Amino acid sequence: MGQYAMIIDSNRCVSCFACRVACQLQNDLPPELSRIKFTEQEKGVFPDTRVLVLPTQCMHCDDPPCVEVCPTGASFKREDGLVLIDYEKCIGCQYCVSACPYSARSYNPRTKTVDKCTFCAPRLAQGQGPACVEACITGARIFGKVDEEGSPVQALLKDQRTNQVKGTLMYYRVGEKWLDEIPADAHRPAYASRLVTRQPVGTALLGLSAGAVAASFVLTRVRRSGEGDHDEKD
Amino acid sequence: MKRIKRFNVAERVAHWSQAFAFVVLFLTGAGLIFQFFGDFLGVEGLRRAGLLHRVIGISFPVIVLAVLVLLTPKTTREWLKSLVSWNKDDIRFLMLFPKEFFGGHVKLPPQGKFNAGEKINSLLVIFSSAIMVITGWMLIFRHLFPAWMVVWIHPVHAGTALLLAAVILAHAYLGLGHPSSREAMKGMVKGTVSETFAREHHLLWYEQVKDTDYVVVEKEVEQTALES
Repeated sequence: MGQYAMIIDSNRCVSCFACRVACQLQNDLPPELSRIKFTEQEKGVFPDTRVLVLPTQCMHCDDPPCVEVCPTGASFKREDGLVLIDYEKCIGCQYCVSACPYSARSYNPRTKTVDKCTFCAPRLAQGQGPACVEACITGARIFGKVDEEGSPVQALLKDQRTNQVKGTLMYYRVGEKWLDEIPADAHRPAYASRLVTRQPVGTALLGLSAGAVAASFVLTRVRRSGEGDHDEKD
Repeated sequence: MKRIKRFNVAERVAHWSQAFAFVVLFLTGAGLIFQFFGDFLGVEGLRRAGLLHRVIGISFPVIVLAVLVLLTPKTTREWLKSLVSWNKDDIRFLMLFPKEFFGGHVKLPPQGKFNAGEKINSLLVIFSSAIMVITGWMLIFRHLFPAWMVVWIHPVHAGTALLLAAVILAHAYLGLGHPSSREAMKGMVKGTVSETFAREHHLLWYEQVKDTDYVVVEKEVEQTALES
């Protein structure tokens, strides 16, 4: 099964935010909650300035930190590359929200679960494209399978100006001076590891205490068994 | 038989509220730290645990603080004062106590109402409870804090919980299972301890209260009934 890829071509993007609105409508999100966020950068000296508005969302990492920290296995990585959430399993602990290096996840108080871009997995299952892609008025969002012969995705991936966010399914096309504004390659924050979420130090401390208590329980009884009952009346 | 009043009703209510809250909060939070316990609770169990964790975690610190500050301010002040007063005997107590803990017999230096071990326990519980409450509220209002800060609150909350658990496990054992300190448990349940216990374990405190109305005389019959 081939992996999906999404390309965002900022040269075509007119910052109309239709993708965001379409996404919110498609996924029944309250107005204040959005799976697509925008970064805004300004370059140049007045009056010769340029602004770049870049949409970001779940990058669908190859090795997702959110999946690693999820205590119930609700977050998972599918074979076609999609990182998804099983809402039946999500308990809303938000470990994944903290672990995501792209701040792509947010808590939905209505569903009491965590929300993020799914590349519209339910629509994909019906043979449709993601809502944001279909809503884009300029065709700045290009989506498809990497191994699909002759697809627009495949053609663009061969183009040198298509920059992959390495370790993810996302690609960006931007003007040369904006290259450093593309989201950083997939990275693993220090806390996104079981060493932090599973607390080896604290657990060792608790184990030490339990060990001392057990040792004391046995030793006090062995060492004092021959001494009569006087301790009881202290 | 003479007994000495050790903890008034408010102090005992505060102590057992804190104890209840700790046990419930630890059990409802442990599912996120210990995989086997999370699996045992299951998804629905974890969701309910999360809700209970918030209800207890928000209400009980208020209850405990209110009881200590409003209902027994005098003893609370004295308790806090004792926690910052340390002398050489306290240090010696701490050095000798491990031997006592593991069943040896030691002559421990004279102690006040709270011995050095109880003071350490109090300090650890006060500070870690404060951290738990602060980080707990920060997690509830996480959108008000910068992301990099929220990120570290999870491990701080969980790590402090485990430190608190380690301290409280040893504390509970000393009250419930250690032969030398069973009378101390009565002080926290009935509110009084035997005169012998007060003299042997808290000499400095005993000297202060032995001629005051802290001393209650219990009828012999009642005492025998309790002993048996």
